[in-house]
Amino acid sequence: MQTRIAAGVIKADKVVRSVCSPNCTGSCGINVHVKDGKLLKIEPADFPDPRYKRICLKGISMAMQRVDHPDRIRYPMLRKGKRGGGEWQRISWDQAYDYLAEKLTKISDEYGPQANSWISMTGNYGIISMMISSRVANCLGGTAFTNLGIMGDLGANMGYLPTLGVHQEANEWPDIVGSKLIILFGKNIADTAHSDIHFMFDAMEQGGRVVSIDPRFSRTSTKADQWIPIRPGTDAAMILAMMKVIIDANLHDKDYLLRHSNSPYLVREDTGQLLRANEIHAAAVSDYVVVDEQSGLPMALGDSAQYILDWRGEVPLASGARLPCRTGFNALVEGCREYTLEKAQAITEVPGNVIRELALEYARTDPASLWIGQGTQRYFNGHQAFRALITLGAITGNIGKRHAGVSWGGGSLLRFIFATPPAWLAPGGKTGRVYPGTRIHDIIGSGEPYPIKSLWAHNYGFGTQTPRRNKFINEVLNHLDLFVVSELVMTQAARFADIVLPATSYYEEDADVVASWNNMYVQLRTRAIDSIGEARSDWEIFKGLCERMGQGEHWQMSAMEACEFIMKNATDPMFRDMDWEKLKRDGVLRAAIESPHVPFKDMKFPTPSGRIEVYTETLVKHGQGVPNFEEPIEGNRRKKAKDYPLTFMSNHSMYSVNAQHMILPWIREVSPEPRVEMHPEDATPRGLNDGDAIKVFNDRGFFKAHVHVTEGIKPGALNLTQGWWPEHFIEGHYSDLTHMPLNPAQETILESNYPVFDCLVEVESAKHVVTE
Amino acid sequence: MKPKKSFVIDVFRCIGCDTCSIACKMENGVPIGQHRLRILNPQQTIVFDKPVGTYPDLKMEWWPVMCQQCEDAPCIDDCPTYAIHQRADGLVEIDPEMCVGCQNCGVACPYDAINFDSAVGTADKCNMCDHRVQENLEPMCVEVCPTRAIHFGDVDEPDGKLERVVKNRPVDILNEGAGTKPTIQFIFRD
Repeated sequence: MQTRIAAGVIKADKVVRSVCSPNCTGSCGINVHVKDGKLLKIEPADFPDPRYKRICLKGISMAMQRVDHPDRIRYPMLRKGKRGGGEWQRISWDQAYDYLAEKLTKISDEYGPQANSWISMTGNYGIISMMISSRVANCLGGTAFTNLGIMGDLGANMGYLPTLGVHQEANEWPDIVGSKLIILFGKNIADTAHSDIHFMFDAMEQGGRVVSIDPRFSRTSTKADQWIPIRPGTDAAMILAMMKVIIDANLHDKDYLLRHSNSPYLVREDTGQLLRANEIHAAAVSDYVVVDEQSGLPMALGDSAQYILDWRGEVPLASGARLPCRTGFNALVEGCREYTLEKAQAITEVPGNVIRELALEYARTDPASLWIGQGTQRYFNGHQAFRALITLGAITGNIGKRHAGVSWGGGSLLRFIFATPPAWLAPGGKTGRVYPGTRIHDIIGSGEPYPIKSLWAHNYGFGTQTPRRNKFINEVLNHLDLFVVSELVMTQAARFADIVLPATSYYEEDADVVASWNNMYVQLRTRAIDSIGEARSDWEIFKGLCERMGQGEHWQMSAMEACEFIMKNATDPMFRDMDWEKLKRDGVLRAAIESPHVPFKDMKFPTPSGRIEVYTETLVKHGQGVPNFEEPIEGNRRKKAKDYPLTFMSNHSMYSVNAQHMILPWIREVSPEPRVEMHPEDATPRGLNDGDAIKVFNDRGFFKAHVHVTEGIKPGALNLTQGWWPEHFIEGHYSDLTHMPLNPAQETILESNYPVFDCLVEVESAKHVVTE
Repeated sequence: MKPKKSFVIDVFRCIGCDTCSIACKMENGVPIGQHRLRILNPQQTIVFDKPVGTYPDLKMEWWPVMCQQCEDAPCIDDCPTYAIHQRADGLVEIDPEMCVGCQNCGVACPYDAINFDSAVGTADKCNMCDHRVQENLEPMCVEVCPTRAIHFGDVDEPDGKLERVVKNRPVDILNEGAGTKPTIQFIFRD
C-alpha cells in the first residue's frame, strides 16, 4: 500500500527564503521548507508590502515536480550517434570541460574567436543567469546573440522608444487602485500576470470600470465590465479612430500637448523632418521651431512664450525661400483623418459606436488608465499600435499622472538588466561581438558576416520557443560544429545538443539577484537545497569553462561576490544606492525609487526633444512620422488569406511560462493537452466538432492537435496556448508555422520583433490519424 | 462552545487558476486524479473551459468547490462504520482508522466533494487544513490564493472577518435544494 506524502504535516528542518523567477512577471518570494537537504514544500514569502506575498500554480508545480523531475539532467552528457538520436553517454565535468575547451579552441583557431557564440534567454530571471552569456562571449572574444527581438515582445519597446525614449514603463500596479476607467488592449492579466490582478480587482471594487479589447474572451475579459472583440492585428486602426473622435470633439488636452509633447513643433512638408531654428535664422542656436501665438510667426522654441498647436502654412527660410510646414499635431490630425468610425469599423470589426463611446469615455474620465499587453504587438507592425496608444494617452494628458498613464511593464527587471556594470559584463575590458538573435538563423545559415561554428544556448527553451523551429533543426544545426545546451530537463533544444550540461534550479544556486517585471523589489536568492545530481549553476558552469580556457583570472569571485559587485556597481542609482547588507539580511528590499512609481511625473522624457514625441522624424522614411495602421502582413484580408484564411494566435496562459511548466503532472491535470480554440462559425463549415483531430497548416509547416470549439474567440481567428512541446501534439509543432520577417522601421528604431501572431493558416480535419 | 469555522469564496475574484487546488495537493498529499478542492468551470469540469452564451455576449465563472462543511451532513448519516463525525467547531471529519472504504459517503455528498483514495483505501476530503489552523495558520488554499478570493474564519463572529467580507455583497450557497445546510458562502460583485 502506497503512503500519502502530505508535506504539510512533516516538520521541516529549516525554511529558506527564495525566489521563483521563471520569466514570469511576479518574481514571487518563496519560503522553501527543507528537510534533509531536499525540498519538502513551498509557501509564499513575506514582503515589506504584504500585498506582494503571493505564489501560483506554476511556482508550486515547478518546485515540487520540475526540480526533481524524472527527466532532470543530472550529469554532463555527451551525444552518441546522430544529433537528436537520443543516445547519450554520461561524462564527468572534467571530461566535459576537456571536450568543450578542445572544440572551442579548434573553432577559434580555424575561424577566429567570434565563431563561437552564445545565446541566453530569460528562463531564469537571476541577473547572473540572464547576463552571463554576454560576459562569457566578451571574455572569450566570441559572439553574443541578443534575445530582445526573438522573444516576440520587442514591438512594445519599439513603440515606447520613439515616443517616450524608454524601453518600457508602467504606473506601478498599486497605482491602478483609484483609476476610474481601465482600458486593456491585448492585456490578459489573469493569465499572464495573475499575481497582480488582485490590484485590478481592488480598483474595480472602488468603482473602476474595466474594458478589455481582445480577439479572445480571455480569462481577463471574463472579469471585465465590457469585452470588445477586435480583428487580430488591427488595434492601431481602432486607436487612430478614437483619437479622431477625441480631437473632433475638442476633448484633447491642448495645454498638455503644448507643454509636454513635440506636437507643436514645425515639420518640413518636403522632407518630413522637424524644422530647426537655424533654417529660419542662419545665426540661430540649434532649436526646434514653433509658431508664436502672439505674433503668428514661426520662431525658435526658446523665443516664444506661447505657441500654436495646430498650424499649417509657409515658413520663410533664411535662404529666402518659403517652405510649406505644419505642426506635428497637424500631421497627427491628418494621419487620423481617414479613420472615420465607418472605416475603423470596417477594418477592426468593432462597431463604430462602440469605438466612439469608448473614446469619449476615455477622454472624459479622470483619471483613466491604458494598459497594453504584448498580444497587441505580436504582428508585423505591432510597434505602431503601442505608439498609437501612447499618443492617445498623450493627447488626453494622461502620461505622468497618478491612476492614469499608459502602462505595459515597468518593474525593476529591465532597469536592472540595463544597469549591469560594464566592468562585470566585459571583464578586463575584453569584448566580443553582438548580433540580434532575430538574425540567428540567417547568420549561422549563411556564414555572413562571418562563420559561426558553435552555439551555446542556456536559459532558453530554444526547441519550442524559437521561430522556424524546423529550419533550425534541419538547416542551421548542420552549420554548427558544436551545439551546447545547459538545461534542467531534456528540452527539445537539449535533445539536439552535442553536449548537455546539467544546470541548477533556483533552489540549488548559491546566489543570484532577482528583480521583477511588475514591481520595484529586488531579492537576493541563496541556496535552499542540495544540488540535484551534479548540477551546477550558470555561474559555476561558465567559471569552470573560462578557467579551462585560460581566462580564470576574471572569474575569481563567488556567486555571492558577483551579486555584490553587480549591485554596488550598477549604473543606475536605484540599485547602486540600495543597502546591500539589508538585502543580504532580509532577502528582499525595494529599489531606491518612489512608491508607487508613476513614470514621467516630472514631465521629463529621455527623447531627443525631452518631450513626448508625437511626431518621430526618424521614422518618416518608413511613412511612420506619426502612428499609422497597416494590415498585418498576414492579415486575413491579404491575398494569402484565400488559401489560408485564419489568423493563428498562440497566447500565453497561466498554466506555463513558455514551455517550462508544460511537462509537470499537476499542470497537466488541469491542462491535459493542446487544444486549438475555434469559433463554431469556422468549425461548422469544415465539418469539425469539438474535440476532433485537426491539421493546422500553412506554406511553412503544420501541426495536428484537437480542436476546442468555443464561442470565446472571434470568428476568423484561432488560438492555441503556447508552450506545448512537440510530443504533446499528434504531429508537428506550432512554431513550424511562424516566421521571422525583418521590419525596416523596427530595424531603424533598434531591432525587429518576432511577430508570432502575424500568421495565416488553414485547418482541415485530421480524423483519419486517430486510431481508436 | 468553539466558534464554527468556514470559508467565504469570492467568485468574482476567482480567475480559475487552480493555485489553491494544486497547493492543497502539496500540503495534503492528494494524489493525481483526486481533489479535495476542484475549481469548476461552467461545464462543471476542471479542464477545457468554455464560456456560456453566444458570441459576443458571454459569461464565465469559476467556482472553487470543496467539502461544504454541511450542518446536516448526509455523509455522516450514510457512513456504516460511524467514521465521519462533526466536531463542535463544525468541522466534518473522517477518521481514516474507522473508514472501510465503502464509498457510501461519496454517493451521499451532493457536492461530489469526497474522494476515495485508492492508494490507502479510505475516503478523503477537505478538513479545512486542520493541522494548520491548530497552529494559527490559514488553510493552504487561503494562504496561496493570488487573487485573495478565499476567506476563512469564524462563521458567527459579529463583525468578524467573514461577516465583513460578505457585507453588502450578493451571497449564494451551493445546491441549496439538497437541504444539507452548507456553511460555505459564495459572494459576487455587487
